[in-house]
Amino acid sequence: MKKIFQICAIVWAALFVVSCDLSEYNPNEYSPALAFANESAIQLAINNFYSNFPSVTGAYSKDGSMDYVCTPFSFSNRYCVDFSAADSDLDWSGWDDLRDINYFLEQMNSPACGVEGDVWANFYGQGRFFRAFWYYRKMRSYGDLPLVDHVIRSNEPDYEWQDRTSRDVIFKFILDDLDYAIDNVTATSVDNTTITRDICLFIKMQACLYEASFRKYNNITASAKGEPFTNYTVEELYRLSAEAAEQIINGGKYSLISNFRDLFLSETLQTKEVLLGAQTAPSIKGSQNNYYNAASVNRSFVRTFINTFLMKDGSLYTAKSGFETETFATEFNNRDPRLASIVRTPGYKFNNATAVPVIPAPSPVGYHIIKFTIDEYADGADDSKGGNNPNSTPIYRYPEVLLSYAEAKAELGEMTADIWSKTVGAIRRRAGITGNLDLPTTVDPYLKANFYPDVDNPVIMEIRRERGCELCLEGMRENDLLRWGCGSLLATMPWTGINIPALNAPVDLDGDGNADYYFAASAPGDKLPDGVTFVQVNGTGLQAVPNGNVYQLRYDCNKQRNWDANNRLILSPIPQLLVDKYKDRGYTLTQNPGY
Amino acid sequence: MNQTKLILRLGVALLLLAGPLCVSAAAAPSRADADQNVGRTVTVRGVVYDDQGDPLPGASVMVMGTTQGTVTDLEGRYSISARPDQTLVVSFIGMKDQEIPVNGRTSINAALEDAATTLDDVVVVGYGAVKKANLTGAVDVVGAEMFENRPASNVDQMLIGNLPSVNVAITDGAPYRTSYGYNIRGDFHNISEINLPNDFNTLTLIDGVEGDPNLINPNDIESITVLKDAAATAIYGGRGAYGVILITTKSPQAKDEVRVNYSTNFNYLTPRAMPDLMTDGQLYAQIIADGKVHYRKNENNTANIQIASGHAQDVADEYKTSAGVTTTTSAGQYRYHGHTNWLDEIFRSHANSQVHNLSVNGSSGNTNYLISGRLYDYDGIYKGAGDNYKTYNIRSKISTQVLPWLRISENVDFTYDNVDMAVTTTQGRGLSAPLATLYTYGAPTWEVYNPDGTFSKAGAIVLGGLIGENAERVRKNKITKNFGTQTQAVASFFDNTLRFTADYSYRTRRNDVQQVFTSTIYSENEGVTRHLDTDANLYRQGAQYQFKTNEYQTVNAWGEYENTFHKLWLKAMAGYNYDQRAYSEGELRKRGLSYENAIARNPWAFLNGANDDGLIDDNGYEEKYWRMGGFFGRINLGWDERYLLELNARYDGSSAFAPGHQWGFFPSASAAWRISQEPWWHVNPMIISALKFRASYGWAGDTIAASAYAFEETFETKREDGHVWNGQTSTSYLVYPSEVLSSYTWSTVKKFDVGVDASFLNNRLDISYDYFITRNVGMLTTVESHSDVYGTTAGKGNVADMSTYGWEATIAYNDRFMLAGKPFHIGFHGAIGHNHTIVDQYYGNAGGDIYKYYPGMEMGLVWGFKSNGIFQNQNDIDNAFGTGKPYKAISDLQQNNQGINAQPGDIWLLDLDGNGQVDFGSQSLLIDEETGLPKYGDLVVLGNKKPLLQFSFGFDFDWNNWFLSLGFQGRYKQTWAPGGKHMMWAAGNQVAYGPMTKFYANNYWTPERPDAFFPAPSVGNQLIANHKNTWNQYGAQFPVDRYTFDIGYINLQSLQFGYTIPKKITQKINIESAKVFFSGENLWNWSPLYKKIGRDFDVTTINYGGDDYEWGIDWWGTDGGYQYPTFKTYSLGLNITFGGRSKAKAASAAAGIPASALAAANAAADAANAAAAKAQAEADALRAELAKVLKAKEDCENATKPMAVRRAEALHLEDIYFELNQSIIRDSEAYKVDNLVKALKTYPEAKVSITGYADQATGTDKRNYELTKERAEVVAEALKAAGIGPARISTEFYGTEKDSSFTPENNRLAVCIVK
Repeated sequence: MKKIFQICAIVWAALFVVSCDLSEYNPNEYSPALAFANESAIQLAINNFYSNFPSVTGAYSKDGSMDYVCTPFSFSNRYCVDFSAADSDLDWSGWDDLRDINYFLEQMNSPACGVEGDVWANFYGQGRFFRAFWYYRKMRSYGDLPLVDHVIRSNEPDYEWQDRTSRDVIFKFILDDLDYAIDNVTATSVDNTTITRDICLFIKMQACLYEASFRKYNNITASAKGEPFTNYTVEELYRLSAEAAEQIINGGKYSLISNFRDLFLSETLQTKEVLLGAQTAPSIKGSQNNYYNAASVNRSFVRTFINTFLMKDGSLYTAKSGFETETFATEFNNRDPRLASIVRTPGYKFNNATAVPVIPAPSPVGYHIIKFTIDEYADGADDSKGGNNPNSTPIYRYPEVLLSYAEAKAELGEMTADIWSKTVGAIRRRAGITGNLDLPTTVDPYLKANFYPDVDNPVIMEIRRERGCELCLEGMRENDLLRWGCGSLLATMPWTGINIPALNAPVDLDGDGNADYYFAASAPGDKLPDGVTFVQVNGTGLQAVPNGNVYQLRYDCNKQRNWDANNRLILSPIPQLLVDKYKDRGYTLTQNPGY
Repeated sequence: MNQTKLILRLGVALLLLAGPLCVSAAAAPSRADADQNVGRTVTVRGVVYDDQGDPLPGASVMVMGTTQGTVTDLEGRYSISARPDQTLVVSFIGMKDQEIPVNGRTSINAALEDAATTLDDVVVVGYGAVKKANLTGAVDVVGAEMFENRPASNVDQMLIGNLPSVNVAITDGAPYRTSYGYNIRGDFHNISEINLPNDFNTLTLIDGVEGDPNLINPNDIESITVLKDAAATAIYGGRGAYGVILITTKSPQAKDEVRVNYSTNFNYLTPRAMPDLMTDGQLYAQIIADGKVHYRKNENNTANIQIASGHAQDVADEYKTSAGVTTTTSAGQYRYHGHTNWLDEIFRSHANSQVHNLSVNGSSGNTNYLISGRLYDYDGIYKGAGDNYKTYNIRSKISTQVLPWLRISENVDFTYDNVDMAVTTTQGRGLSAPLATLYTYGAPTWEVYNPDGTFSKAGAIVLGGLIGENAERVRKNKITKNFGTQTQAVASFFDNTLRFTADYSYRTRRNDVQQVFTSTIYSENEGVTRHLDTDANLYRQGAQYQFKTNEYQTVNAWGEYENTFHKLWLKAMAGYNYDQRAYSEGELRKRGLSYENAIARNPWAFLNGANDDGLIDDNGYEEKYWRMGGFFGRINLGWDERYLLELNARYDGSSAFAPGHQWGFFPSASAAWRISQEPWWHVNPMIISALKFRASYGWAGDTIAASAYAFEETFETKREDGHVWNGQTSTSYLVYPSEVLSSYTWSTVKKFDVGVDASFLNNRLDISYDYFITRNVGMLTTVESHSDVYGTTAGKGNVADMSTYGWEATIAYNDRFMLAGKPFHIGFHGAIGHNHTIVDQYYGNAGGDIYKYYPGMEMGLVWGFKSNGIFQNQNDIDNAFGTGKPYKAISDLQQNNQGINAQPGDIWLLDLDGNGQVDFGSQSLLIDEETGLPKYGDLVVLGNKKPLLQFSFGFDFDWNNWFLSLGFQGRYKQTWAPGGKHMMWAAGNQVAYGPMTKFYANNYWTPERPDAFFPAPSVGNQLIANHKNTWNQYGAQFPVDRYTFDIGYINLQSLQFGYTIPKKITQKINIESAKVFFSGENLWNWSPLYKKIGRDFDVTTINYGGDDYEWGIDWWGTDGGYQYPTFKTYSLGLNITFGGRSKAKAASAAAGIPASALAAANAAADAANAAAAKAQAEADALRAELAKVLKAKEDCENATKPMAVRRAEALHLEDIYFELNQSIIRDSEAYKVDNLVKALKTYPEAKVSITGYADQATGTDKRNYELTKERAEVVAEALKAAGIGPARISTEFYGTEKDSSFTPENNRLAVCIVK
């Protein structure tokens, strides 16, 4: 029977050896040839990668679970006991985005690509920028990474299941991409919403600063497998960062606008100062007011951080006697004017009426965040409804360039009075601080005691203060703490809040002569006066702790916060399932130290 | 026939008794008479026999083209006056008509053959036809009778249960639901099975071209052939993977006549099952109030009944003092105290439909034609504006013999299909909405209307689209137009041994759906009206237009050669096929249509932008193209009609694959051994009349899973609405393609089939059995899981395998005998089959999830928990897992999400794995390393969603012009686990909102009703949660054995009872035939389910539609589907055929026809008669040839043929004639005696019976008696002299007593071989 089949097959094959081509191709979608045929199509292919940047509805919700924010409802599990590699899948995912970028780069190099010369290099550079950006962010989480420089095909199992490559090599890969982008990207943006050469420089500056300080302050000199770093020294990295910052500064395109708060309350991005931002449109609005005013989200700054804001004259608030027990009503007097742009301070008006912080929710310990919110009901009726805030939100701002430049220079030992004045000094001047704008000479003991015990360089200490004050809630805090070797703050900073004058009595929080709150363990028997809100304290969660002659609000986290003693949390664990999966197949995926 | 024989016949299947059955030959004509008597009317006499050789009483004998006719008597005899040039038509119900030219004879006997499929019948197969006897593959056939006179609306409905191997998924009863979907020998649950690696699909060809069977007129169907195994389907190569259904439409008949047929059905349809609702509002409210208490233990009862802020207990209490609609003091708010039966509000008691069929069939010269038309008009079951469906079919076929060797034909059909239905208020959901809304607005406590005549809110939501202002204006209209044309040329050469056929077909189908939806006005407070769903941001108010077009072109060209060389039969065929198909689809949807505009203006103007109050919600256009080409061939070889071999092959290409992977080769081979044709086969045909063994193996291909263009990596363009990029608010981006392994190609379906066909009792009983294995090899699924780093899900490749194992058996029995002096015909047919499917290879379920595919998995398993009944008391709960071990279940199975543990009245699930709690583990087959047990907790397999057996059977009876046929269909053993939202649980689980059946209200647990079927009602989170049919986070469902049912059933699918008006009467008014009948569909059914939960739900459709809601409602169905009740249909019908007259007769009958025309007509008639005479001469020659065959001693094959065939072909033992008053064997008759001797020597076991007859014209009776005796003895002596033993010879003589006539021909001896 089989023979008969074979004979049949041969006869048929002989008869129809020239097989007809019946091919039909999809008329509804872009083939690779079409998708890369001309500039406008390639732009659509690039557009896909912008999802790597925050959108209008995401740019304002950064730094939610930081040292300086009390966030009882959404504290990151990562900084609690019981955190382990087994139950963790933090952000290992996203390799599909990398594949898309590699796919883009491959198609740009295919014969079907319809552009050439500078146009080609501009797009190709953008593609490489996005790859570097992807790897930079992934490297911050995991350190060493599998190095994937092309679309993996199914016939490359060893490549697919490769172990991680030293972050030193990864970082060179990132810088190669970035340098190519810096050399070739010529794209401009009318509203600073898309990639330009400056953005490439910015990321180079940020990445090099990150890598330099991460290695330096965490004393990292080798990969997880113990391969020593050879490509870069810490000093080189600081220098690369400084050079990148310098290029942006020397480009002269950016400056500090006069009003700090305008940066966040502007329908159009302040493109003088904002290098990249999320721009709104009538059909695209944000939910900032809901995010910071709805009881369900619930976060406020902690007092230890608020205390780091200087006095308006440039002096230390914490040098003032009795600052520890100063109540909410007076603590903002003569302070850094940025405070009034960040939290509800006495006299703050919401919807044209004086408004105090809403305690305990959405402002659990009293420093009610307003950095991104507008001072009216967002939709004119109900602030619990989201989606109506027309303000655009910065993603990358010029002050970060100045501060990074200053930090790199300081770390290199090249800080000068002139650089100081043009960087930190300029930022403080713009903030409205009037004095003490010169190069600092003494280390702030409060910062050293509460935040950065290892810093003895007063310049570096002040730069760190300024990064906190200027850039708070803009998405860099966790990275800064980790690279400064201060990750433990994320888990250990107590959630302290405002001082209140009294318990079990109506208190005038903002000093306007009218009582606002009644803090007590249980509701008063008598009816409270109009305008006074009862807040239960000393049960679970919110506490009122005696503090001299006043009481300080504190919040007990419902989870047990923890920074692992072996400092392993500076890097995320590889999900244990993955490690096992590799092992099952005879491959190795090296875990990060300590897990 | 005597009574004993009758009883024997009835007991045939068991009593295979040999009995002498007389076989008689047709009387030899007296040649001398031929042609002498043309023009003169003579009396023709004869006997009509059936295919068993018995005289056939009651057969009709007509002179063709006249109204002249007679009926045979009890002995099958007839006598009729006819001109020698005329033709007799002999007919009998259930048998094939026979036309016999008189040809100058005066004695004509006829033998009719059973109309049922016989071995000599020709079966349509792929690119050709083959005698059934020569089939080597597995093929089912049904004829036109399955589709005529039935009231069902489309072909699918008629196919249910009629083809043993075809599964028709009955999803609902809407007559306009056109695609049920069916498959052959496949997985029964393909419709609802999710993630099936390959979607099953059956290739359906109408006259050789792919088409939708539901868009053709069922009355046009001549036959449907189902090709099941590889032998039959391989000729369709890559498209025959899941079987092929060949629909052949009726062809014009070549007779020179005009025949007009009209038939009609008037149908009355009532729902097969309608839940019997508990409409006592007060009781309803009380049950809910109690349920709430149960749910929250002793907490306050706060369950709202969905009426204006009514707490259940309050409402129940209010009934004591209030009735109907009252108002509260605050703002005149209405409160309702109704007893509403919502199903009564929605449905009429019945629907109506009517069918009219008209066809004209005739020929003129070399051209014949057939024109048919059908109108089906349906007025739906929904009340108010409801639904209406009309479909019109027209088909015309014309065929002409252009040249002696060339025939050209054209086949054109057109269908217009129009569904017009009400659209209910919410989101334009079509007719699914009224029932779907009951889920939340079906409490009997509601009233439909307020006292001022406005709708209550529930009234507006449920009935707003059916009744009132909206109903007339806001509609959904779906029109389908289907047009096809096929042009075919057939050239034949060398005596038709070589034929070439080529055809070109074009078919286009266009589907347009227009709908408008808007909100209804209602009132909640006295004097204040409101609109439902006025939110313009939702497209609850808007209009929508969609179209789909399909264009299909096919070219076929093939040649075939057929010839017989001695014992070798050879048939060879080779050809080419090319298909191309274009599909396009577009949609425009606009929302924000204001209520005023919706009812006041043309909504299409709104869509066109004439109103600017709308916002384009969605629009889109897509097109797709496919091409397929194939080269195919087939060789049939037969040796001596004993050994049959068939080889098929096809080389097929498809555009579904990437270049280089488009072509596949699909061979098959099959063989059959007709063992009963072997020379050594001496089994009495009364016992086994035919026996054939078949086997086949072959490959078919599957492209179905390979969707168009899927081999390409392409970028999808998406609109970006959330970003402003470089100043652009709305722009687009490309979505990068996932991995595509473009090297994938056809998956192969390897089919193995062995079968046996056997006939018993002289072919009265036919039995077939097939065992088959179908292996789907290389099904297109995700190849393998990759590392995350890979960055994409793996592409699809030919990697999954699956096997289906099954068997089928069919039985058919046909017989006829006399009953009360009239012929009685009885027929029985039955089919039964089983198949099950096992996954052989599947990647992508490394975790062993029992709800995904895994190697070794049997498809259709129902996993669930075992229960120990209902907790009767706290003691049960405290010691549920043994003394001192209280009941514990993980939270998903807890009775509610309040952390409250089980209470008396809840279901007691069993902890099978003994871990101290009821859980479902990780639903994985993987073994837990610690416990050594599989990780699926306490889950067990409760059954299979597929039926164990599917069966069908039917009866046909004909007697004295009355006929009755019954068709049953059913399934044996099938498991159904109703979903948590099914209405069985009361109110589709929404006890506080939805309707409740009486069955539920009388069968839930209370301490006083410990044996109740349902647990205690528990109302919380709007759920009766404690039935434990919970859904876990993966969406998987956990049935419980106690509430898992066997939904096997038996259904009386069709019934016809009617009367054929005797021709004697109809012919007087020039009607050829007329019958009136009653026809019914689904008149009765039974299921074990009914014993458990009553007859509230239709068991035949209960398991479709995702287990949700009653009748399996598709909650979001926008097409009016999945919720439509199925019907019992009662139908009265009439079928009349006019005409059948020859043109010559018609012409002469007509007054004023010019003589020349008459002459021409006569000439034509003469020509026809000459042709008939020639045919008769040929038939005689053939008969002589066959007689010679008989003489050849070495040729014994005929002995193994069934008796009927032998009589027809070979054993024309001729009567021996004598001169008047003589008993000498004439020289001219001597050879007949010689033949007889030879025949008897050939068959040593045969006996002979010699019967003498004489004519009445001469001689006395006594003399004639002696004469017949003498003659018989003379012949008997001659036989003895030739060496035939006397024991083998019997003689009878009747003189003129029997079978006498006035003609000398009756001076004869009839010779019969008796076995």
